[in-house]
Amino acid sequence: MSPLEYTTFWITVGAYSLGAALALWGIVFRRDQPLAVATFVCGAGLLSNCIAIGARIAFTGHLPVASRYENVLFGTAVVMLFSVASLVKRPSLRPILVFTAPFALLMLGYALLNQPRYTTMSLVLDNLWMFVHVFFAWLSYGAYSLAAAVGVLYLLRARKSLEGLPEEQIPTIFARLPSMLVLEDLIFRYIIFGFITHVVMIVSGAIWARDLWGKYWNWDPVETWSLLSVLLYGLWIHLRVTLNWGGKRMAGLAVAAIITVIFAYWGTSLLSSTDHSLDDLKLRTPMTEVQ
Amino acid sequence: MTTTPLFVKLRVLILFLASGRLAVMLLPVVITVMAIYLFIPQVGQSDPAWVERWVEQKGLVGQLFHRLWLTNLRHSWLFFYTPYGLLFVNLVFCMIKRFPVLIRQSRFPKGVPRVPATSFTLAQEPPVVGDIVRLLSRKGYRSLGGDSCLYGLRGRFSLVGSWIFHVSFLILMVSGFFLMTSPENFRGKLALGEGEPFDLHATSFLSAEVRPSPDLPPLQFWIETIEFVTDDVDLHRFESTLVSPEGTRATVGINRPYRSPPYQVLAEGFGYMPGWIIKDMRGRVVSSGWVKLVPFPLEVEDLFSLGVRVGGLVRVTFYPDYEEIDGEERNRSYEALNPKFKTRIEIDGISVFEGLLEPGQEVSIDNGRLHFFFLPEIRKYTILDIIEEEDYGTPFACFGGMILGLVFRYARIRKEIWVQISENSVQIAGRSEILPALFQEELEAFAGDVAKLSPRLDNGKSLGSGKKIQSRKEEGVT
Repeated sequence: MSPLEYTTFWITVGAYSLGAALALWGIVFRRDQPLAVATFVCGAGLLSNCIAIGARIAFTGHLPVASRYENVLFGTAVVMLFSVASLVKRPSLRPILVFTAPFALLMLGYALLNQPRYTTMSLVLDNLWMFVHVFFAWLSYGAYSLAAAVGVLYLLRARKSLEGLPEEQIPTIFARLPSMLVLEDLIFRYIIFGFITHVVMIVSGAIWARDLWGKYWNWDPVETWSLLSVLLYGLWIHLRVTLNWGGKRMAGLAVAAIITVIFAYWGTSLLSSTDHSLDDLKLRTPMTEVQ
Repeated sequence: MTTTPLFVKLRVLILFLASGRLAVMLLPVVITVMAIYLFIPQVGQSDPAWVERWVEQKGLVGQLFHRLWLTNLRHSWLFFYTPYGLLFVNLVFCMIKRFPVLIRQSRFPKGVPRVPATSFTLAQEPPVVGDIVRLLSRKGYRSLGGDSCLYGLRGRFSLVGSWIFHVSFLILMVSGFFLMTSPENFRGKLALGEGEPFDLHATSFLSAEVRPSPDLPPLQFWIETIEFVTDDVDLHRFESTLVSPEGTRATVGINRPYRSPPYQVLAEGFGYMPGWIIKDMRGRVVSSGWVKLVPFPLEVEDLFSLGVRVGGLVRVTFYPDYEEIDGEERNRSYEALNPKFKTRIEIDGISVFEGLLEPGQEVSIDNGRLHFFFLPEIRKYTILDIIEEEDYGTPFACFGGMILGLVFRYARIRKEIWVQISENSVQIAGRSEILPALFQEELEAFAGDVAKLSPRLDNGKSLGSGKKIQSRKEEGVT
C-alpha cells in the first residue's frame, strides 16, 4: 500500500467503526442525534474509501479488480454509497447504518486478510467485460444488502410488541421510520434495482466467458449459485407482483435471500474448484494433455 | 360457446398452465435442484470414480440419491427435465395469455378512464388546465381530457418490457440447453509452435470431445509469430499471428479469440519449445525431438521422455531469462534473453546428470557413451482450442432482450393520474401498478406542485404568482 492508501484505508476503517457504534448507540438508547452523526461519519468514511481506491488506481494503473483485496475494497465503497445515498434522500432510514456499517467493516477486514500487496492485471482479467461484470456485481450486491437492511428494519418495526400501540408510544427511532407500506415498497425497489444489475452482471460474465473459455455458460459453482440467487430474487418479485404477497414474510425473504448472494461470493469457492477464484484465475495449461 | 365438462376441464388446465402461481411453485423446485447440484457430486462434472466412492461412503442415503438420479441431475427426468419442461410450458402459455392484455395496455386510451375511488381534494382556486398539462408532461405523463377532468398516463409500455424479458428468457432456456452448454460442438485442443501449420481435417488433436467430421468446412492456418509483452516478471499480453492460405492475418490471444464461422479459435496457453538431441560417441544422432515446455507459471518443473531407444527421463525447469541473486535462482522476464535449463536426467531411475544447462551445452550420459544437449534454437508455441460454434447469436440476442425488457418494465412503471377540476376545488387521484406507497408520496408531491400553480381567472388565463393576484384584487381587477 502507498502511504496515501494506507492512511485513507485506516481512516475508512475508523469512520465505519465509529459510524456503526454511533448507529448502535442511537438504536439502543433510542436517540436520534447519534444516528444523524453516524450518517456524516459514514459519509466521511465513504469519501476516504474512494480516495483509497483512487490511490490504488493511481499506483497500479488499472481498475481495482485484479485481486480479492481490490475487489472487496471497491465493493465496500459501493455498499456504503448505496446506504449514504439512500439516507440523503430519506434521513428517516438512518437506522439501516446499524447493519450496513458493520457489514462494510467485515468486508474491509476480509480485504485486509487477503494480502493487499500490489498485483499486476493478469491476462485473463484484462478484459472490458470483466470491468462491466464486476461493476454490476457490486451494484447488485449493494442494492440487495440495502434491501436486506430495510427488511430487518421492517421486521423490527412489525414486532408484536409494537403492534397496536398508539403512535406516541412507539419508540422515537421506529416512529420516525417511513410507514410500513413505504418500507415494503423500498425493499421492492432495491430488489428490482439489484435484480436488473444482477442480470447485467451474469450476462456480461457470460459474454466474457465466451471470449475466454469458448462457452457462455460452464455450470461452474459460482455461475450456478449466482443463477440460483437471481432466480430466488425472481421468485421474490413474482410473489410480490403476481400473488400480491407482502408484509413480514416478504421482508424475511429479502433478508434470507442476501445469504445466497454472500454465499455466491465467499462460499462456493470453499465447496469445490471454481474458475472464478481470483487466486486460480490463471491460464488453463494442462501439461499432461500437451506433452 | 361449448361448455362440455371436457372443455371446462381443458380450460381449467390451460388457465393453470398459464398462471403465475405455477411459476411461483416451479421456481423453488428449480432453485433447490441447483443447490443440490452444487452439494452432491455429479456425473459429468466430477470424476466418475469419485462419484461412485461417494455413493458407497454414504451407504443407504447415497444409494437412494443415486437411484433418484440426484448424482446425475442434468439427465434426471424427475428433477431436471420435468420442472424445466413445466417452466417452459408455463412461460409459453403465460406469454400467449398476456399478449392481448399488453396490447390493450399499450394503447393510449381514447377517453378518460373511470376515476379510482381513492382521491383527495385540494381546496383552492383551480389553476389553468394548460399549467397542469405542462406539469404532467414534465413528470413524464402523457395527458388527455378537457377543462373539467384531466388524465395522465406514464409507462404504458411497461408490460411490453415484461413480455420481452420473458420471451427472451424462454428462447434462452431452449438455446441454453441445446447450444450454450452443449458439449456436442466440436472442441479440440492442440499446441502449435511458431511456423507450424494447422489443418482441421489433417491434424490429430491432443484432446477432443467430438472428432471433426469430414463434412465440416475446412480450417487452415499457420502460426507466423508469437509475441509476449512483459515487464520484469509479469506478463501483460500474449498474441499469436495466424496466417490463412490466402495470406490473411489474424491475431489470437487470451481474451481475444479468432472467429472464422463456424469456428472459434481460442488461446488457452503458451510456452517455449526447445529441441533436444542425443548423439552417440561418434557424433551420430540417436534420438531427437522438440519438447513443449510450459513456462507459465514460471519456475515449474516439467518432465519428458528421451524415447524408447535411450529410455531416459529428463526433469527440467526452464528459466527464459535466468538470474541468480544471493544463491536464489529466478526469472527476470518471459523473454528468452538468458535461457537456462535446470536439468536432471535419469536413466533406469538413476540420476546421470544434475545441473544448470545452457542451450547447446553437451552433457555426457550413460557413462559417456551418449551425449545429450538442447538445441540453441528455442521457439515459442501456443495452445489453441478449436470450437465449432453453433448459433451463438441467439443467446446474445436473448441477453440483450432480457436487459432491455427489464429496463422497459421497471424504469417506467405504469402510473395514472386523474385531476378533476371543479369551480372552486381540484380533486387528484392516482393509481400505480406496483409500489403503491411510494406512488402515494409522489402523488402528494404532485398535489403540492398543483397547489403552487397560479389560480385560474374566470376567462381561463393565468395571472401569474399569488402576489400578483392579491395586488390585482386590490386594484379591483377581479
